[in-house]
Amino acid sequence: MNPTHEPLDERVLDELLSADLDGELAAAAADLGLSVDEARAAITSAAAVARRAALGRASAAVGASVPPLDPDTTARLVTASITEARKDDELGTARRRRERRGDTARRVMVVAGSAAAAIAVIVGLAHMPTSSEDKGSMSLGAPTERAGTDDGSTATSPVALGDVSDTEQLRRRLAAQLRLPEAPKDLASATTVSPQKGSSPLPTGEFSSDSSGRQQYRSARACAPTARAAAGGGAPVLTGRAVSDGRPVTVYVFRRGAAYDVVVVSRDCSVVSRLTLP
Amino acid sequence: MEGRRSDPRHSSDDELAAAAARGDARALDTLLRRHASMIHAVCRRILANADDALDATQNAMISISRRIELFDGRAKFSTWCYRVATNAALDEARRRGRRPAPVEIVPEPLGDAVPVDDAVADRLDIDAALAQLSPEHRAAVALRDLVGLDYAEIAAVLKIPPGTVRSRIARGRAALADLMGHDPPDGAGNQTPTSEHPTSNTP
Repeated sequence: MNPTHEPLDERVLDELLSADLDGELAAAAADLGLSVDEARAAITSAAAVARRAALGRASAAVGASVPPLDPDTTARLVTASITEARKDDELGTARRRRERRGDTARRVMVVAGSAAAAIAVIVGLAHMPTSSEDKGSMSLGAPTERAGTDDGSTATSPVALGDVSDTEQLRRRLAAQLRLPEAPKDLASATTVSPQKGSSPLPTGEFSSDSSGRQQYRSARACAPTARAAAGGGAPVLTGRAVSDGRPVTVYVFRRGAAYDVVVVSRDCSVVSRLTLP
Repeated sequence: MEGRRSDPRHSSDDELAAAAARGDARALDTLLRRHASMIHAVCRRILANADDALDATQNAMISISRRIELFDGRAKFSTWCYRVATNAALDEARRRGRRPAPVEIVPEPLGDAVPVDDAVADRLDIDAALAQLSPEHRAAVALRDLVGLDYAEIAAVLKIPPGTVRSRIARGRAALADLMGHDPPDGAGNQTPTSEHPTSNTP
């Protein structure tokens, strides 16, 4: 408020006059802390009237129309603008297309890479030596020759050979596993070693994929040194689980030139029998 | 009737803008032609330089062409155009990095001298006076006195409060009044062109 009616600062007066020209006097007065009456009184003084006219002329001068563009200039500006915008649009489209192509290529690469990695993992798993005890295979169709490990056991699970109480039966099964021609009986020699006293009787029958198989696999690994010693060294090319006279046994096969030494070891690592193939 | 409907010159700004946003080049062409002179006038007033104004006009039209799909119809198309034009002109002023070179003020024609075209003289006069203001003050004054936007619309275009709009317009007009030789009577204000805010970037 300006109750004493002191002369207003000339900038304030200009602002009121200018606002009044635009029909904004009330808002301007409120913003400047004046009542509308005070503002109106201020802008009606003789000095203010002359100033108002000057501001009005300045406003009119700015508002005086700028000469319109000539048609040629207008056409040139419009055409250039549309052309430029279209060029940008085309460039943008081309860029988006390139980016999409790049994205597609990247996606293909990722998919191909993932597929290759998956295949590599599958192949790797398929060829990876079994290290877990729980991965024992009960298949009779296992490979005939297996690489030995440092501890004399085979790298993969022992094959199931069934009941080999009969030496001839053992020979036939091993021949089948080793892909050997059926050998005449008289060409093979077999040595049966009596079971050690005190070995516990075990149930007879074929092995199945149960805990006894895993137990025997552990036994095969544990008794490998015994078998290797009995065979005169080397790593077994085949290890098999079997039952002999109702007891679980492990069969180790060692290559000796063109022949094979077979050592049958009981669960307590005592040698049950030995034979040579073919 | 059919011919009238298919002729874009008879369509409203909003209809043309919608068609242009869908890729209708004819609609865009018509829109730009319709507003070219006013876009140029805004640029001319803000830049107070004929060549710079043409450059800014071109940039404003390119910008409108590129962004036509962004016009959402909430404001009038002309207001949107003036906003684009104002920004283009202020960008041009910043790009030049200088206040537009003052135009030589043509002296008042003497009584017995060959009269100069009044309109040309007035234009040179107003350009020279405007050139003394900051681009921000020129923009506020031009949007009010040339385009006729109200304070709220100017505030939206310039992204400043309405109070600042009022202040810039008042100071711009006051400086112009003094520069154009319409000095007020003694005691009613004797600002000099460069002593007040209009020639700086402050409100």
